[in-house]
Amino acid sequence: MIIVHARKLLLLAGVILLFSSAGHASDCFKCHEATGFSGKVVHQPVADGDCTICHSPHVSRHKGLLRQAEARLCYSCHEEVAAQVEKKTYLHQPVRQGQCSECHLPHAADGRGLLAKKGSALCYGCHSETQNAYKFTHKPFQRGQCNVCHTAHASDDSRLLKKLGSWLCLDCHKVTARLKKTHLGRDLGVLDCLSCHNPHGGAERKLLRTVSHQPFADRECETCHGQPSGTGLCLGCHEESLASFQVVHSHLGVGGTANACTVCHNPHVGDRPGLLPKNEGRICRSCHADTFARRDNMLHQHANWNSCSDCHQGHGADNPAMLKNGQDVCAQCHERHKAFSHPMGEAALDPRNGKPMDCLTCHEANTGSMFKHFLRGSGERGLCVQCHQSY
Amino acid sequence: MSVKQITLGFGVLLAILSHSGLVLGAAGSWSTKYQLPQEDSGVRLEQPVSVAVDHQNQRYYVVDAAKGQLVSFDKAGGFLAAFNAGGELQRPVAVAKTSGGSLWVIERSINKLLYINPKQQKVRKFAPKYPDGTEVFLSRLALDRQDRLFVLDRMKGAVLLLDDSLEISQVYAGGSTTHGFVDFKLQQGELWALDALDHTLYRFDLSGTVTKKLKLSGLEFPTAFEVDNAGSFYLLDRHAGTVVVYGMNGMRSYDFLGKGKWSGQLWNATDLLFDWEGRLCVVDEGNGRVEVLTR
Repeated sequence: MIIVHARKLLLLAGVILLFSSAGHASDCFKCHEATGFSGKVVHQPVADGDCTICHSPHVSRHKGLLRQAEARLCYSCHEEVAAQVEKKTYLHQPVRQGQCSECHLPHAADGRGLLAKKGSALCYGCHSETQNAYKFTHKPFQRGQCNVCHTAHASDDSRLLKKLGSWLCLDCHKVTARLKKTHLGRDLGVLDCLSCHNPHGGAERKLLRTVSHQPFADRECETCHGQPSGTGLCLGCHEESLASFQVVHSHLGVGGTANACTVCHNPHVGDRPGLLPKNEGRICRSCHADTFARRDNMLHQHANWNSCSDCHQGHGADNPAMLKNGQDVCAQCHERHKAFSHPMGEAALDPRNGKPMDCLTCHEANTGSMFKHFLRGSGERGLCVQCHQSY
Repeated sequence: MSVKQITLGFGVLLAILSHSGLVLGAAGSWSTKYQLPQEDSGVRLEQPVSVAVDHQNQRYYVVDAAKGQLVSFDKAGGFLAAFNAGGELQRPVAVAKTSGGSLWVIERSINKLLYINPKQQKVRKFAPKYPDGTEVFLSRLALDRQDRLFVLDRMKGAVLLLDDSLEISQVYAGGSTTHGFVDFKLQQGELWALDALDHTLYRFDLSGTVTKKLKLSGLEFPTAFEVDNAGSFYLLDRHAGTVVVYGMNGMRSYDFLGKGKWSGQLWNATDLLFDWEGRLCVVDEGNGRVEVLTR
């Protein structure tokens, strides 16, 4: 009886040995061209010839016969990345989507970290809008070293900066007497350097953002400083702005007891008229974090979603969500679409609430959605049956 | 263990859970009593943004900002009248009724307080100011039992008590750390105010001293709140389309309603108020109606 069992166990061990050796690189390379797996930097399992660490040789529910979903598979060895992602507030889009291979090659690459391209060439693949030429350029930007300031996976800053506030800058720019004097002796540790300086480049040596508040440009600091700094200070010169807040929904009051204007507007310099930064969404995110968090998790998002003022009125509007032109806001860009879509307006009342239908009845342009064209439900059925229940 | 013992044990557990707010279904069984306007009334609200209640005469006054109207409803939700103060209302955003039957209205288009005497058909306009001449940016208002007028200044994010000459007699502000208040309620001789960005409720005594702060968890974008007689807080989460209930200690109990356009759902809701029978009025700007909920 014992002998019979021992024979069975030996047979089983033989079968296991046979199948486990089937995944060894030498076997895989019988079909998969080996040259595709070589480079200056080779992923450790590939170098060890151990394809089966990542791939199942027979079947898998994941693309490429991966043993697990992509990110989960990577995190099983790269625990330090998993821990970082777990702890931080903001994730790089590919990280959020679990697509490590958006940036990394899984087998071999010419650069460290198995990155698909070197330096900024990799980043510009998605962030082409940052590929600008400046008269004066910040050295890391010039050298294509995005990773000097940005972290690739996750951060507590929405721009994926490595450190918060001025501490990132002060790593390289040592606090000297001259630097302190330039900033009127203020504690540099609490300043937000990036609110005034463009970290990529600029038209002058200090890399100041290009649009200046007139008193700042004229070096007339006392125009604003040395007076009560509340909202009234700004309205003293920009009195006409007050009327733009006399609407049903307004942004007045977001500053609490402090100056409401400087919550959004930089009183010294900005990237565009109105002394606003180019990365407008960053300002909006500081109060509307929930909207951005929802949007981050959606599969389909409206183009240019970070340019909030394309659709929303910054100071305020009579319309809910401070939309420009009410529900006609979409026609600003999608004029043609309005003519051949589902009936809208007074001719088509939403049976759920009796209100005239508009683009936003079916499309969730604000946060995006899990459906194509950021529809509020599946365009095949789920969306339509909300109103057309007899279907 | 007998069936009786099990039943008793379950009952005790249920009592403990419901006291701690962990039994969601039981505590959260709010349902729509009726809507303002009622579906078959032929009346349509374009942009309801706030509601006031006349406890004495059991009436609702809904502010329709887009139409520039106050719309009144009786105690059963029946439409009574729409009123625009002889065209003086362009963008009204809040209303309160005095015990004498007059109305205080915030008219946003001119940033003024309107005092409307419907019997005399007279409208008087006021622009309250700080002692230094700074304008008050009027946002919400309420009257206490002595008809004293409290207004919310959105510019400074503070609640102001105005005296009979509409001078500021008391300021209720959260200090330098607050983001400013977006709503306030008067409750049993105290004033509660909501710092929406910080998800914090402040309690003031009427002398303007902060006596309590409650940090609330689990909210996305609160825009209004209400307090019931038992001291529970009802927070309107505009983006989530829910009303979230917290115990008097700030512990989250349960939530109800949800985002959508059907009856019982919310789409950009703006205001909460209890009526004379403890029914909760939820002003739903996006759906153009007020849900009157009971349980």
